[in-house]
Amino acid sequence: MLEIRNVTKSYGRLTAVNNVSFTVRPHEVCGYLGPNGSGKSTTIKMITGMLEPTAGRVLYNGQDIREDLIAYKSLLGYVPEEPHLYSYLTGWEYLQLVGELRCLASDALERKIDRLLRLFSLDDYKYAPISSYSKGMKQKILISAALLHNPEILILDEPISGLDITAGLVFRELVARLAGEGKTILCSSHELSLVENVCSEVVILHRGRVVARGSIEQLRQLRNQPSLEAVFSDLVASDKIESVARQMLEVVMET
Amino acid sequence: MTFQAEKEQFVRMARNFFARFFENDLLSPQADFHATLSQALGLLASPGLFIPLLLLPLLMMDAEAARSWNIKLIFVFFSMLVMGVLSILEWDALMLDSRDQTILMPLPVRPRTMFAAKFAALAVFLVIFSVDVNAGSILMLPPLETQGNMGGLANLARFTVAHAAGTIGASAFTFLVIVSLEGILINTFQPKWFRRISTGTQVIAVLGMLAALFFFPAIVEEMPRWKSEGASMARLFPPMWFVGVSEVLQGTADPLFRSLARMGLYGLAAASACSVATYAVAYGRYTRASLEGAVDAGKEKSRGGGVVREALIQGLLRNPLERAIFRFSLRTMLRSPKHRLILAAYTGTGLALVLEESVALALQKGLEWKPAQEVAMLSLPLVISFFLLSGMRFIFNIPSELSANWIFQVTERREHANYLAGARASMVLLVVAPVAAAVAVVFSFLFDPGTALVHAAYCSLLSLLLVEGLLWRLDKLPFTCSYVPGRIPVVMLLSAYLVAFLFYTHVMAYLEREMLQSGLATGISLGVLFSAWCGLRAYRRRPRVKTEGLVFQQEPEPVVCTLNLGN
Repeated sequence: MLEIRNVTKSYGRLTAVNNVSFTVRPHEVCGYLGPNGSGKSTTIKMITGMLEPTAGRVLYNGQDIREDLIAYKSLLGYVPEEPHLYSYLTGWEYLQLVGELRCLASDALERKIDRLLRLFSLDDYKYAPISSYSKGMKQKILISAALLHNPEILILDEPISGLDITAGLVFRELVARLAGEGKTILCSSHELSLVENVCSEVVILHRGRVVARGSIEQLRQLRNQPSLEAVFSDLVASDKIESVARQMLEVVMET
Repeated sequence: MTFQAEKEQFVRMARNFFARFFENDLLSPQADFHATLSQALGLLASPGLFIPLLLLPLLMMDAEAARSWNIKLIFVFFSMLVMGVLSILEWDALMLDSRDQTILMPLPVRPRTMFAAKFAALAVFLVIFSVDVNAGSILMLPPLETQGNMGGLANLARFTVAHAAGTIGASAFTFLVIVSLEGILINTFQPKWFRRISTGTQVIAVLGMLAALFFFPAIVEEMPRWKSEGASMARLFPPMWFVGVSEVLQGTADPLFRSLARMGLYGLAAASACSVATYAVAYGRYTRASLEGAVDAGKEKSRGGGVVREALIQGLLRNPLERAIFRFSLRTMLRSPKHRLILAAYTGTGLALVLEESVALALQKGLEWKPAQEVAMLSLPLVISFFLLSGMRFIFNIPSELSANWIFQVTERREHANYLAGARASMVLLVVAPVAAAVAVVFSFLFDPGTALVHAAYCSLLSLLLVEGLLWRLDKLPFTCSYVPGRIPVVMLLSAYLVAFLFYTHVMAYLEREMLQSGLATGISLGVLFSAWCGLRAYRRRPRVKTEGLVFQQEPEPVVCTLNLGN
């Protein structure tokens, strides 16, 4: 079980994440939502161990991850928000690098890379440099890299960004199946359809604080809204959407 | 679109393109443009200032020496060398890159405006840096040339113009030749091949310039003889063309200088015409190619070679972490242009020194010379391995695509020694082993096979010790940690390098020569070196209670160092 307990991250006077707490259980996909700049990616970097919280703790199976960060990292698969990859490596070489850094056996690793690339329709481009890949192709490499070592915990930050419709649907199905296998999955996304379809729990963050937490059904009933999108708008945007759109139109039409 | 609007677009784009010349991976992305420009101008102006200062005592005593064409040759040569290196470093920025195109193409900007702005930025770059590189000598040399009876403001002005024309003309010629070369390559090859060939061209150009630098003292020494004997060699050396320009403007009647000056002017005109023509055609072709750029499917490496290479890697490097770092280091060195260029500069320096030493030996001993176990001869492989290994160690510090290093952070494991073994393996397998093999083969022909093997073993053990020294206390993975330049003062670093170089190459080669006199001494020496290497390895591998984590971010030294008295 992954437990985020009273986590705060401050940069000088700016508090990016403020006293955030929630829990993700095995067999569960937890959606992590929030507008741009709400602190989602900062929380995720603390959960992956790349950033240290200013206060609070991240626990996995009751143990603070920072007590044995390296052991925790070996259980973790992470898809970052931005596709930062070594552009001069080919897709195959990048996955080989990640597999060897994860100390996977050579034969099994090569088989796994070939199969993943074929299933993601990247077979024809596996010897092409990543610099020539489209955004979606890079995203597929990131997802493959996160899954290579069969991780217990999956942290996904905007995982379907750039994926085509088919790949997006495949990924959605895959996440559901991975949860069925007992993985602990945290998924941050602006794609509410993904969240509605695969997440059993949702945490909504606004200005660094958790403003709602629960199942989608609970949240809809609580806020008396017909959909997750409406719940989200109600919590973080209230009645501003129309007003902002109207003002933007005024700016556009200005001569 | 009105002419005024187009003019504003032109000015704005030209400024932007000029600023792009200073966007370099080696510079901090947060660096202020004006500060970077000032630093670059200062750095490039320094050779032009220091050379006259170094020669000042000689030139102040002897106005004739100051007026001699040999002195002008030094300034013209350095002007061409600095501009050549600068142009090679800016190779990628000479054309409009895909980022510029992605941003500018959807905007209502005419292609001709874009082309004109890029060309104007190149012209401004050429003018500013040509003047900057030569400013020191233009200001300092003419007053020395006109001292004593050559006084008078008119004369000073004439000498200044002559010197400026020679040096700035030489800089411009070099820059235009490199622009033409890039244009010709773009027009000749497919985009994929152009990228490959252009990196090779950059490396060869750097090697050539470094070799020229090391051979320059010998060229200066020989040039008077070549000049007096028919002059064909003088005509083959482009810096002499621009010395001719300077001499003619100062009023020389020497027919050779008049002929050299004509060659300089024709050369400059040809380089200008060729650069404008090839650039204009290449610009359109390059722009189209980068916009159309489809995914290059690449191809699998040849089965046979791939299997052998893979078997070697798997056999020699048993740990996956070691293999990962070895492969990553190898691929970064082969494919990252920045790292390849820096390594080429180190290699070029080593090769040029070896070449110079070999030529000097051959000239000194004559044609009947039989290779003997001389210090200069024995030190040659050590010179090469010193520059290759220290070059590799230097580029390990320079990050490659730093934002992508998160993968090393999230996959970090406890076995840090295995990561560092990968870095060590890349030095041993890519430098120590090939150099040892080459030494065994080459020196078998020069000496006898037995001595060649001993020499190879001696060089290998010394190189292994150097590897241990260079990687001592390394706490980061190659190419993955941010780099803060200037943490160690340059003078201190250069002094340490010089002492290490002299000890490693000359002192150790001297000891080897003595060692080779007796079999017992050879056995003892090799045994001592081997034991030292084993001792260092054992110390490095000693069990430690706690190991620090890998470093991915190098912090700059604090502006104020406190004494921590409060604790």
